[in-house]
Amino acid sequence: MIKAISSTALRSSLMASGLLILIIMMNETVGVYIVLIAFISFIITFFIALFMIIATVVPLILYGLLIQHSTIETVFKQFFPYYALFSFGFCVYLSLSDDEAYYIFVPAFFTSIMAWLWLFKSLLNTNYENKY
Amino acid sequence: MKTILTTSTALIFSVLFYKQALGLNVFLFAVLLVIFVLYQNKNRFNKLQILNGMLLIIMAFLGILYQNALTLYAIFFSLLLFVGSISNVRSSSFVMQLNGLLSIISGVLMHRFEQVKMPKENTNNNALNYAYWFKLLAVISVVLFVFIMLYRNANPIINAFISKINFDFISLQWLFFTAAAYYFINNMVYPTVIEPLTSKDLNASNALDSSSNKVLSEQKTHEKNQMGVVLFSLLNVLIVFVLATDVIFMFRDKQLNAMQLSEQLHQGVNALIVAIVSAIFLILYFFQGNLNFYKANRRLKQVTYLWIVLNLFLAMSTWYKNYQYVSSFGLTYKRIGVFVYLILALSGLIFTFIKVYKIRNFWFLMRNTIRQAFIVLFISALVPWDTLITHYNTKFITNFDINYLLNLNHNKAVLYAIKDKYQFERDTYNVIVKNYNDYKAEQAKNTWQAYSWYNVKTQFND
Repeated sequence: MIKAISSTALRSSLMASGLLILIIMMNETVGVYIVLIAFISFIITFFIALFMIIATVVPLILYGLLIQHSTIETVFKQFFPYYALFSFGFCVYLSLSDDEAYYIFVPAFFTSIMAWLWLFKSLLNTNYENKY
Repeated sequence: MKTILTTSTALIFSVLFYKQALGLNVFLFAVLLVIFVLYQNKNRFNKLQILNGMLLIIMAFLGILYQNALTLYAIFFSLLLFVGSISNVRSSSFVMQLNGLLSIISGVLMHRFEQVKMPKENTNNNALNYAYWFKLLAVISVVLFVFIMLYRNANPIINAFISKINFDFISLQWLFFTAAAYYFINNMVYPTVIEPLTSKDLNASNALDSSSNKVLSEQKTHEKNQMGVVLFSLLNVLIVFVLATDVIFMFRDKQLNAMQLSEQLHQGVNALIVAIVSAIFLILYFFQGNLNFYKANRRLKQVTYLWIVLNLFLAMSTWYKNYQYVSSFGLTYKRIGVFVYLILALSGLIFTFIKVYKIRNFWFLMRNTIRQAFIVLFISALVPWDTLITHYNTKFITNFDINYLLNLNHNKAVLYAIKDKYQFERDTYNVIVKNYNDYKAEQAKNTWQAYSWYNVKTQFND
């Protein structure tokens, strides 16, 4: 589980910082400082992604596996739709509330839903549910 | 083939919407999208999907006529309904909407997750041969380019035509916009459902089944029945008192000013909101489980029916108050909103009555009330409210509020047409003329993608 979470957090931070840099480049004139911005945003988004996965996704996985005794596949199908709908609504609402909020919330939405796929693919590949 | 069609649709979306206002482009894209999604899901073909597609196209056509927020909401919800009907055509409307939204935001991801479980030999057969496609496209592109250059030099007409082609619009923003369009359109090709909600919805009938309920003891059922009778009887007495005071006040010979009417109405509507929602929840609490089948529940049902009827009267008295307000001081969006709310409240009460009378379950109530809300939304999107408010107020109200009318967005032409009919102050007259000229100038800037009804009329008049 730890390996799956950390690899998902790594991929998520790459995706989130990549999207963030792309949005910045679309709207602002950037020079060589973009490299520094990319490096710093990568570190920050790694910790944010790690925190979000541990705080929002892992509890659902543990609930599904330990309490409901479901398979990984069932946990994904049961919780991912609501997570995706909530994430979409939350990010759209906050993006519309401020002119530049979409810099943060557009990458946040796409990263959050991709993180689910990566995490669950890793767990399926390691046959995680059989350990429980 | 699927990828090529999706890419083409995304490119058309970019051409229609990138840095454009909404107008004709919404209608054109709706037609394209309906055909595209139906074609990609032809194995799930059903008549209801075509009806939902037609609804989306009609709502999108309204985007040319009205271009207001209500139309946008109607287009959005009709899109969700259409995509949701592709996911599962037999679901209730609210489940279809949720399935539609989930499909649009993550259809591909759900499909990818399904593919993870498939054996690898199957996925390899379907995998794209990227090397082959790259070679094919590269060779074709180079050969075409060489021949275009040759013909350009040979033929001045071809040369002039090619010189007009301008790829300046391609920027990082445009690429991101097109990629986002590709993502969402591609999701619609992979419709998905929320489980276990969809299965529960499909398996749940509207009738309450006596065998499936948690059985209370005879004693507890009797106690609950008794409590319900006493509670609803007292509530009926209370609501009769409220109605009596309402009726006395309504028929008093006294002219109320706008502030008094407004205060009375807003208090009435607020109270009604709380009362009707509470009433429905109370009825749902008592009429769950085996109390519906209890032999001695006749008295409880009678007081409940009376409670529902009295709430209907309360709604009608509020309707009358709002009507008085409108007759004296004109239409506004808030007053129209009160009428809409009252229609929904009335339909909620009627469905609650049917639920008790015919022993239906909570699914029945939820399905019908939510469907009613969507029907009201789609019907109200058909009405040009700004124009209607302006026409009504100027025709039937003696001292209409011109400042309110000036703040509406889509009535500039109507106000301009009647500017000489009323004795407006010089400042107001100038504002009306300026607003109309600004509106004309703004509409004249529309490219063909953002054509509105005004542009279409102007084209014909020219």
